[in-house]
Amino acid sequence: MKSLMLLSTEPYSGKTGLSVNLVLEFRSRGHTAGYFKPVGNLPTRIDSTFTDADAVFAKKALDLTEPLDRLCPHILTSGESRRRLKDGAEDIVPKIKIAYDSVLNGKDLLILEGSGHMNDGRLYGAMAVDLVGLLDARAVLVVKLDNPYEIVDDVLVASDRLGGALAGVIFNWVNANQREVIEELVAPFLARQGIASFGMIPRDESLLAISVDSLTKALGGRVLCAENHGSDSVETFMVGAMGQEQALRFFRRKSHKAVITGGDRADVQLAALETNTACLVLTGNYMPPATILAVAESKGVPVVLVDMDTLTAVERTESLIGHLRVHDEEKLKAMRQRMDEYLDIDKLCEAAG
Amino acid sequence: MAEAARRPGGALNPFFAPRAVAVVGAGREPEKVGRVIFDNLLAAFGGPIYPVNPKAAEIEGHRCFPSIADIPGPVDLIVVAVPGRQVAGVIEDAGRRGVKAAIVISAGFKETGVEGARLEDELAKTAESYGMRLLGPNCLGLMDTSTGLNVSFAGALPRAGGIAFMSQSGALCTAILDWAKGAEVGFSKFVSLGNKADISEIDLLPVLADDPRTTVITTYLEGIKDGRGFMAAAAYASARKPVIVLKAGTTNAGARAVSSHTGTLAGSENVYNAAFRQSGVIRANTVEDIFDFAVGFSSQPLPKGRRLAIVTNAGGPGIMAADAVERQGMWLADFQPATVETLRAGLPAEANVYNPVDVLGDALADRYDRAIAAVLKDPHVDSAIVLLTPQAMTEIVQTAKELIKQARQAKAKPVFTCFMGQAEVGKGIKVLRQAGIPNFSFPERAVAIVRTMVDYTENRTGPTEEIPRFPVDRSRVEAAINESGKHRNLIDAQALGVVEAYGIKVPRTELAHTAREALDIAAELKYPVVLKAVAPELLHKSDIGAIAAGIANDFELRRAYREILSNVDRFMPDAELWGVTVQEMVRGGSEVILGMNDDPQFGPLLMFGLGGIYVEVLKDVSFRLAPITPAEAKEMVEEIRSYPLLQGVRGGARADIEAIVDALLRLSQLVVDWPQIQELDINPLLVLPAGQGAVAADVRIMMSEG
Repeated sequence: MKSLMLLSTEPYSGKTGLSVNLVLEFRSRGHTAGYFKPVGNLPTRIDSTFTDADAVFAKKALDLTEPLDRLCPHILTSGESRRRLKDGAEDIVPKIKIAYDSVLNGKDLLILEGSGHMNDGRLYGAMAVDLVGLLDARAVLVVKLDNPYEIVDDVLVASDRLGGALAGVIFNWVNANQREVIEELVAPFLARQGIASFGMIPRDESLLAISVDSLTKALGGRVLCAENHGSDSVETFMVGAMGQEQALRFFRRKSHKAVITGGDRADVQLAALETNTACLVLTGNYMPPATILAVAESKGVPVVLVDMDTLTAVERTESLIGHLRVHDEEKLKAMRQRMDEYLDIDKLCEAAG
Repeated sequence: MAEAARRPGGALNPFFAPRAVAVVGAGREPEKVGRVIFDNLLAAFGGPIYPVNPKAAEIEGHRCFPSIADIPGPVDLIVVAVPGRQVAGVIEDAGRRGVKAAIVISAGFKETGVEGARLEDELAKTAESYGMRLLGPNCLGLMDTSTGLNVSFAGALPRAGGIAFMSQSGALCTAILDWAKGAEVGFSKFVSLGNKADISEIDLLPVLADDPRTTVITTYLEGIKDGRGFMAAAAYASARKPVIVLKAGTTNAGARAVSSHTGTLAGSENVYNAAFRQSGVIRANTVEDIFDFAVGFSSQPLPKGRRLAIVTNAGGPGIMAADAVERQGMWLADFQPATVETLRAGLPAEANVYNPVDVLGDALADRYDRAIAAVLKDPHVDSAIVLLTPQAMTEIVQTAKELIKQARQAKAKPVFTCFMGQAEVGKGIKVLRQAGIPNFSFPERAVAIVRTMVDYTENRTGPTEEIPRFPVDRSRVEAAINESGKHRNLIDAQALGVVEAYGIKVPRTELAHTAREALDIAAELKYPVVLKAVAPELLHKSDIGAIAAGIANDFELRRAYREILSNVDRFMPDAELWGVTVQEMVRGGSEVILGMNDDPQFGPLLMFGLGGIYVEVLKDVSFRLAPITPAEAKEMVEEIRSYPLLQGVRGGARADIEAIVDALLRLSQLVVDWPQIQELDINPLLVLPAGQGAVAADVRIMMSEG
């Protein structure tokens, strides 16, 4: 019985999507595989259970029968951190071990998902990178690329810490211009240090998108027209507060965007409708002019009226778009495809034993 | 010429000269819109008029019909004034009956929102399926003084005259009709355009251009959907008679109002100025402009040139008029010696016999008469403005009469007056107005009208030129466009390659990935060189130190390379850095900017200006819509205020202006050939001294999607 733990050097690096898809992959190869997240970092409440959002998603996507408090036995919260800093700590490792053993029971293999950063949990004596040894697992480091040179340090530190437990590295979110450096310099260098590379997955903005419907829901908005375009995807957003002429040039720069502006800014709204816009988010609960709705309807662009100011709408939208959360079946499938295409799955399976 | 202008105006004939008209929605209550239109029609129209209303048997002795199908005789035009939802049904009935023209007065369409827009769409489609043309909806109707047709609820028919007026604002129509009545101004045709579901200014401009009773076309517009169609129609019309357009909503505040009121983009000031200029349209900035210009054009002959004579009975107004002449780019005429002699013989010794001619405060009508006769006879005078201030002895009405007599004799020379005041001079002004001599309250205004008329004359008589076609390498552009990919941006070597394919010179440029590579390239290109970071996100390289010019040796190159990389890292850490280009350094030369921005209504708008602060701070730029002629390219260069800098000041060399003109023409061809190009900047184009050409040092191109 083996387990493979996915660690990362920063949050939102693609661990959840990879973890869930790896479980599916192993299942498809005839193994009984499961999912386990030792320490949760995305607190959420489902019914009356306080749990982790990734665990909730994995449970649903993988049809897991274990209860959530087993799949993710401990959740980090800032309240708890405060208590710990003041009064010292209770050891959470035993409770993790008990849950782990119970989830592992009867399975060939478990995929463990580390929390946001590989150093998370040190304060609790359960740092992700240390759990690998404690749970007798092997580790795969998921590296989200920023600067191809800087990541080498992170990988080396992880390797120092993990030694032979580090199975290898997955490079995720790789820009086209960084491919060469990874392929020709970084990966060969790591190989010489005995660290394997399982492949690199290119950057794909469309994975950052959310649907107009989810955006509307998250903003508590009301759709005024083109309701049938709710499933259109929003990849980015722009804020309009300039004159029409400038707005037109500005809005041309991005496609599949939500444009956030005041309900009373007909000039900006019309400029947005002239460019590739997924939806208009109108703030301040100001109804736009009827003429604008007519144009939006004819172009199939939903107009979403929200009862908040522009700044609040921008903050909310920002937290939704641009951070890849694979809590969505469609995105999970897209991720699986990319995994098949760009990762050496056989090598990964081998590493897991 | 665009399709709109070729479309036979004949299709709109039934609107202006119908044999019979049906008014759908005419009722018994005299204050209802349908009834007002019916009554207005009755007042002057000679043909059969059929009220259509299922609820009435007869109106004013006219038999009422329950529907259009029940009308016995032929019907050329229907006017519809029933609630919005019923209009489509009426159009359907009329279509089946073979009616080819409909005016829809009813509101409740696009201006009311999604449902209304759907109704309007349906309306337009129904009309189209029967080959029927449609004016409106949501309009006031139209008037034609030559046929006595008043199918509007805008009040009584105005007096007949040479001015045609069409307006996107109904309310402005009624205000102008009322003003015209007071000012005794006459109209040929009067059209309220409404929502422009079918017929727009593009259809009407050629009709009015071909209408013998119209001498000047005036228009109030808020938004234009098909910019090129408008330009073609306007060019056709303005070659035949003056076209004066007031385009509202070009400020930020105005654009907001237009967007919300009409749902069409307001359009930029620059693009409208270019479009109007290139299609010969005279731009009015105020309603007062529209009518002052219209009155000038419709009542006086066109001046042949800029030389203006002023006759006054007071020094002050004469000086003000002289100032206005110079400020507005007109010339004070230099009289021939014979004219000066005649004036000297006919005027008192203290009078000024040079331009402006001062006949003195005690002048009676006879003195004015002699002075006006003399200046109008002078071949060096193209037009005259006569100023009059009411002194105790001034013979106001008699002077007006003498002036009318002289103006009639002068025939080809326009004469304008400026009788200053109101109570005293009013009688004289009335006499002048009746004789078709426009009076303006102040000299500046009178000069402005003459200037507008001269501009029109010069513009119309200017030479027409071919748009040149250069041999180019299209396949190279195509390859670059295919490579641009998802970013939609072409930068550096790729973008330079595109303009080079169209014959614009570029410096040799190569991409380096390491300092070592950069050194090798520099050795091949020869120092000095320019280094630039290449990343699609990097638009303003100099702002973050991502460019270094004048690198003279290996040592400097290594240092510059390091600095550029660290600056990009520091200021734009998210940039997707492709490498660093090494570029041959062009020495000397003036920096100018050539640009293009694709306007959603009018297409590619070209821009020209001097580099640096001249464009960014002083906004000293010129615009034209592509394609441009060589003369237009030359105008673009000469029109900027900083043009003298290119000509060479304080001993500096004259820049190669011909090379700029050539680059503008090539750029024009490039953006017309490749409509996918949405924005393009050549910044800077380095212009070398005369005869040595110009080189595009940096180019950025943004493509449209799909």
